[in-house]
Order: sequence, then structure tokens, then C-alpha cells
Amino acid sequence: MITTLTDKYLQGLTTKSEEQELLHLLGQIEQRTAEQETLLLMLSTPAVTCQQIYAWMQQDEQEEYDRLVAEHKHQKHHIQLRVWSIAASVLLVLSIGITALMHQPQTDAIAWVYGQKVQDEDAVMQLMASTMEEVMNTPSDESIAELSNILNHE
Amino acid sequence: MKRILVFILSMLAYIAMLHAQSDLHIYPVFEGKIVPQKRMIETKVVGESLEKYKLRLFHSVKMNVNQEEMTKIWDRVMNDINAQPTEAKDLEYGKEKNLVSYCIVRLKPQTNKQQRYLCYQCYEASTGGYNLTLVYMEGTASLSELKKTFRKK
Repeated sequence: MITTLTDKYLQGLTTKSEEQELLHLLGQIEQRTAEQETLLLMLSTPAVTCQQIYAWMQQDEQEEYDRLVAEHKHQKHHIQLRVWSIAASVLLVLSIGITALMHQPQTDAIAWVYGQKVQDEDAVMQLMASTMEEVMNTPSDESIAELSNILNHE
Repeated sequence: MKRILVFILSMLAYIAMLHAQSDLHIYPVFEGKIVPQKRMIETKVVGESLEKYKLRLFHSVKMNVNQEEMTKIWDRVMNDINAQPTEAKDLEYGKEKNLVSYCIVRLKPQTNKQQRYLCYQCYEASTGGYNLTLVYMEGTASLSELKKTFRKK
């Protein structure tokens, strides 16, 4: 009985006599729960005050909800900002690296002198020039036809 | 994104360029498979430093070889010359003691602009054996331009 009336009351469906009955029933209980104490207080308080309290509670709830929404929004924005700043930093580092790679001297000069590695670019370029001079200055007074003969007879 | 793509493509082109001569019969000589690398002077240049010669790749090997090794290498050079549709005007050679001592040949180009050249030089060494030089080059330079650049007047 008390449970039915409580539910009805909390839904705002009770009549004045039912409210009086509920107040009476609650008054008879020796050890009331916290909820029942609150209910008793609400029933013994004038309706206008109750409505006022309810409005305040609603307002409080709305404010709390709005605060949570704003906080969530702020957190989301903060996370987004961090993600973007990390992505921008990665892109910056990558582009600096790639630019540096693209602008480094594009020459790869290397030589092995009887198994010994030579990496000095000037030394390798000198070696290259001397080889080319040596090869290009070989006497080549024979005719093309003679070479063709050699090739055909081999 | 565009930069990364350009970078990747240029790296691929660079790798492809390094393996450009692998289709030649003479390539194992450059790899040290006929004469060990410890007996050679190998020079390899790729890139900007060659721009003044209108080249993009230069690869040479110099070594002292015996008669047998010389024959093996010359056979490979000849196979490459025979395999290419060589134009006579871009082929030069010299002969000494009935032996081809010098030869430069323009090989079939890989692209319209990039020419490929193979040079062979061999002469008897005063210390015995033969001094042999092989050069592989790639670039836009014509044979006459190369001669002009490197020949002493």
C-alpha cells in the first residue's frame, strides 16, 4: 500500500486524501529509510514550497548537465587540439627531413683501389678524369671497316 | 605527399640507374666476378658532379690481367658490341700488334635522351701481362662531345 502510494505520489498522480493517507502511513513507521524521511518532509511541506524545491532541483540538474556537456566539449576540443598538434609536428619533422635529403649533394662518388675504399669526392673525381683522359687519348687510327672485319672473323 | 612521391620516385630512378648496366655481358667484370676486386681500381660516380660532362653515371675498372683473362673480357665486350644495333659512326677502335687495344662503342640507349657508352682499353704492361680498362657511361653527351672534353689537344 505504502509503496503504491509512494510511486503514485512521486509521479504526481495522488489526490489530496491519498497524500494525507501516505503521510499518516509514513508517520507510523518507527525506523524510516532516508527516502521515506525525505518523502515525509515533502508531504508535510506546503505544495508551493515543494514545487519550488522541485524547480530548484530541476535547475540544479540542468546546470549540472550543462556543466558536464561543456566540460566534455572542452575535453574533446583539447584532445582534438593535441592530436592536430602532434600530427602537425610529425609532418613538420618529415618535411624537414625530406627537404634536407632532397637538397643534400646528389653526388655519389666512390672508388675501390685494390680493395681499399676511397670516399673523398675530389679524389674519386680525379681518378675518373684521369681514367677518361687515358682511355680517350688512345690512338684510334684504324678504320671502322677493319674492326668490323675483326668482329666478323672472331 | 607530392614531395614524398617525388622523393620515392627519384630513389627508385637512382636504384634503377645503378643497375642499368646489368643487362650487358661485360657486367660481371665490373662486379669483380672475372678478376677479383682486390686486383682492380674501381671508380663509380653518380649525380651532380658529372653534369659538366653531360653524364649521369660513370663506372670504370682498371686492372692488370693475363692473356686468358684478357681474352675472356674481350669476348664479353665483343658479345655486347654484336648484341647492339651499333651505328658505325659512334664506334671507334685502335689496334696494336694485331690486338684490339682500344674501343669505344655507343650502346642501344635506354631512353631517347640517355646514351650509353662502353669503352675498352688494353695494352701490354712493361711489368708483364696487360693493363686493361673498362668504362661504362650514361648521359646525354655524344661521343664527339666526350672526345672534345677528355682528349688532349
